[in-house]
Amino acid sequence: MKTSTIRLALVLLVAAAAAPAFAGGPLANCDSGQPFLWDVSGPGIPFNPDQGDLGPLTHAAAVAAVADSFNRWALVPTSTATYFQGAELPVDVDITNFEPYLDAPAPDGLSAIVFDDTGEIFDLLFGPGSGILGFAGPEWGDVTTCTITEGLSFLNGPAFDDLTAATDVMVHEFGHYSNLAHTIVNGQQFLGLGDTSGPTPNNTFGNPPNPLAFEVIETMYPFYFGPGTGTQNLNRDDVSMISTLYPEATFFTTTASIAGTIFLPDGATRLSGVNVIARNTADPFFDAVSAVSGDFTDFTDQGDPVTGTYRLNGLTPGASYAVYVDQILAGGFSTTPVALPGPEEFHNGAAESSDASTDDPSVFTAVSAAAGGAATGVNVIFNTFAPGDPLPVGDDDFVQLPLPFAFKMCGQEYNAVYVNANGSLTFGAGSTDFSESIVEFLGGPPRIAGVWDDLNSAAGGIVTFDRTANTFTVRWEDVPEFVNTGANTFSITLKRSSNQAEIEYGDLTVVDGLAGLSCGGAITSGFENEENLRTHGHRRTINMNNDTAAFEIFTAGETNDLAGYELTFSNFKNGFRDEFEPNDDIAHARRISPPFSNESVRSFSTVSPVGGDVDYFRFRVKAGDILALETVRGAFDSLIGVFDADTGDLLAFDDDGGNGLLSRLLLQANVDLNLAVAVTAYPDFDFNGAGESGGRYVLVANTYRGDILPVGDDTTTELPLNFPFRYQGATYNSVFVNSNGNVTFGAGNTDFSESVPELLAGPPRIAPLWDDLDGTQGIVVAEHSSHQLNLHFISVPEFFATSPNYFTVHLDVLGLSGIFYGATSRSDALVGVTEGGGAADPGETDFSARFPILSGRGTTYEQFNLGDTVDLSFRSLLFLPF
Amino acid sequence: MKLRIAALGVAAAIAAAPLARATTLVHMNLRDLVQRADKVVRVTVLDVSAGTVSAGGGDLPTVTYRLKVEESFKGDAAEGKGAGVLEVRMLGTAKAARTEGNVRKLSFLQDVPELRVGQDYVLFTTRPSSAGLSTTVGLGQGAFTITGSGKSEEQAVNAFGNAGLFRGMSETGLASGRPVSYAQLAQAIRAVTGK
Repeated sequence: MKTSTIRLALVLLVAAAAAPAFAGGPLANCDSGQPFLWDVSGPGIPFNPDQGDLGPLTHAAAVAAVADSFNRWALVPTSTATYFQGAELPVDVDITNFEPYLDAPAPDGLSAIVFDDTGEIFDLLFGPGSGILGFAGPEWGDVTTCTITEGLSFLNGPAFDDLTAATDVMVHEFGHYSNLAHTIVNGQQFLGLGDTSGPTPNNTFGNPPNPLAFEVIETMYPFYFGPGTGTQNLNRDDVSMISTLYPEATFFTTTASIAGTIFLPDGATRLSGVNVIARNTADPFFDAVSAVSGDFTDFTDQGDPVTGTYRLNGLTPGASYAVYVDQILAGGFSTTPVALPGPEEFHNGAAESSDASTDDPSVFTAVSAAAGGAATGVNVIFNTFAPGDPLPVGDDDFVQLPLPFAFKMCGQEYNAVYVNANGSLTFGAGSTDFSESIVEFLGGPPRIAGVWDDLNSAAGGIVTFDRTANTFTVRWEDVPEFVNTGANTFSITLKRSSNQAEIEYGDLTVVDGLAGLSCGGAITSGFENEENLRTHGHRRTINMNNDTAAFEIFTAGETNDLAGYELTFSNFKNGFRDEFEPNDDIAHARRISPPFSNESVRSFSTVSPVGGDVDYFRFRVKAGDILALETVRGAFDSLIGVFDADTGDLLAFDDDGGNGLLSRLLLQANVDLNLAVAVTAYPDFDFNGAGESGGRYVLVANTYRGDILPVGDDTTTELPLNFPFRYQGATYNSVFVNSNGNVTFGAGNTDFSESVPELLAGPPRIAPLWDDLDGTQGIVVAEHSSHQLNLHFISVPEFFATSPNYFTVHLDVLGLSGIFYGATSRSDALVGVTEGGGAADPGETDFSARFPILSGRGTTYEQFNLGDTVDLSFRSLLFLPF
Repeated sequence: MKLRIAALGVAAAIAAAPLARATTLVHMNLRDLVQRADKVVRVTVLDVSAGTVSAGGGDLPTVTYRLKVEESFKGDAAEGKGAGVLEVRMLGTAKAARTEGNVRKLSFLQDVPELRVGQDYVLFTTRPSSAGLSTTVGLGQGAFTITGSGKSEEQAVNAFGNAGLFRGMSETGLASGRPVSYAQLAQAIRAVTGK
């Protein structure tokens, strides 16, 4: 074997791994079962070359290479795809003018093939040395006809050594341009990934004729093995897919097809994202075709009939094919690959089942079909575990198991559950997270946590399951904490008839962990607070009616007390009603009164259904009012619009001004107005409900009056008081407003690293949220009167973060002070009051557990940290002057 | 329309609507990644935000990651209050496909790695361009997810399963195409940087 060929440049041909579930077949789908397609009934698929040169290629040579590369696809005899060269682009595209071709706001009638002659465009977009040679794909599609109307490609000229390299890249990229996604048949055996020609570990068909016979590697494989390795020459798999999308009349009548569905071990739940390969047993490498299950739909839910299905076309009539499921080991795919829920295996005809004792993964039943025919029902049911088998969850892994009955979590029905090594069950997605947190508990998938902690069944103990017709139980028995400390025993049982969840604890050695039930990020507000799960007796039933989560987090200071206890969660079967519907237009906008927020489940609001909902709220503002409108929580890409409710005029809108993909508007009215605020999802810029994501959100709609203070990052501003304020035994005529979430008297303070010693030693202080806040990213308003001052911190995030904090400090002439919290981020902070100047440490006070009226004399504080985050959102603390 | 409302604070960013294309990359082994990178850092993702940048005659959508630097293998660290914090702005967006009327925008480069808040990574980042944009070298090749963070058996794997990562680097004794321990990856990086 010569090794010199291996040293050829290996290149990755990458599709968006993080994209929605586009297919391993088509790159872009229009609807379930319907890909976007170019119209090839006329002159063909258009392309418009750039005017300039392409690195080592002259303009003429570059245009010729483009035409030749498209022609490789046009020459497929069973496909109708043809291509034609339109006019050249109107300009020589370079670093000064490329944006309209890269990110056109609307169709422009051009399908640009941009020649970045100098590489400056690629360097500007990705930084020098990114290693990106080019990209391509469909650009615009008509959703009424599912027709691709324009495409584009950018090619990095200096990155091509010669014409061969350029052509290789172009042929692959123009497959994408034609709407083909990546595929895997033989390529995976060339990457040194240990893959085989059958279900691993079975190398059923041996190795390819010659390990360096690159000709067996499909053109649309995600990795390129360099010039001279056959990328320009299409393989059976490439021919099959271009012909499936653009078939000649004889394609389906002269070739055979195989179709089927991939199932979870329950034999009922269809699974997308599994690579399916069919090999002709007489010609296993050259006559082989693949598909990713579910590749003709963007959806993965069971309501979509295409989910989990596959179809292989262009096969040899009468030939015998072995069909198997194969784990994708590397590369980017537009249909997100899944971790297989069982071993790779062949389709095994009538023996196909989840029982490995009768369905040997290494045994196949050959499948064949005649010309024009299709062998259907060629299904694969993954093998699984039997009750009592040790579940291989190891340290941080999970397995998905079918449920013997449908189980409901907060309105969503599930037929399968994920068993996570770290002591929880989740629905819809597994969890490898070993560092439990409230934020992740509320924002992640629906979860039932017995002991969510860093457990390690790889070091000891056992995780098993059992089932009956009416119950499903997972048991962690003597499982130590990582690395190998102690032993913990508990079980979680799901009950069919009552739809309850029961957690039964045995001996526990963990001191920390998180226990409870969460409806998950699409249902929770994110502001739910923990409760003491263990009350009295030996068991407790927690009624989840009108609750989206019930939980307790344990720390070294508040240790796990659930050993020997029994918890039952009930009444979490149903979903929640949107309390404001119908409010889908301005005429039906629901009237609210600022300050408003809908974090309570009693004011549950959701953008649902996706693509069919927008929520309008209305209220009146006066000239001079400062408005804060923000989606402070939501597990989707929100949009906010503000309308004149009387005229319907859109006054302002925001897409991503808030935290992550959430929205925020900070505005000031200069006339009296009736306003309507719309909450919807991107890209519903018409605010008519045509968004493409959705879920629960928490909207803050507050109005303020007063003066905007010049607060920055780590600044202090002395503010004169209109009244003498008596605090901690002294009288003050001014207050220092410190940007890091606190006010002091007698001296300012810019310290961004809060600590108890500094609290005690510093000036007299009221600290609503002493943390490293960045006043430049929000606003602070002082609302004066002759007898009181309200300091409003409005949407002020922590430094280098975007999660907002809303709170108000109140001071009045009677010496009363108060803190009124709105939405705050679950972060660290120091909260409290102190006389400072070397005060004695009285120890912490749990404010959320106390009656909220406290003495304002002396020192009272609570220190929050990243394991025990601020839990004071939408609460108030009142400090009396005595 | 009479302007009756004025924006305060940070201006709203209105981004366009990209989707996925397909990209061709030079394959790089670890040595190539290190040599091409401006910075090689182990980070924890603190925050992600969307925005735009003006370039090429228009505005392009961006995703900005704020990263806490846990360990630096190559490149200068920031000074001052932001020391230990790195900001990386990449072309791209997490936006869904946008349909206006009958027309849907089907493609935009979304091949840049998508980083998750709270997750640890080893990133090989390119030098920011004149527009302030950078990415990870070789896109997913230069973005290693750390699993088992904080543990003795931490593993590192890039977006392409470490395919070909140690090709031509037999001196490392490490195998491509499978996760590698973080300690081994760090050692191999240091061997290349000479630090």
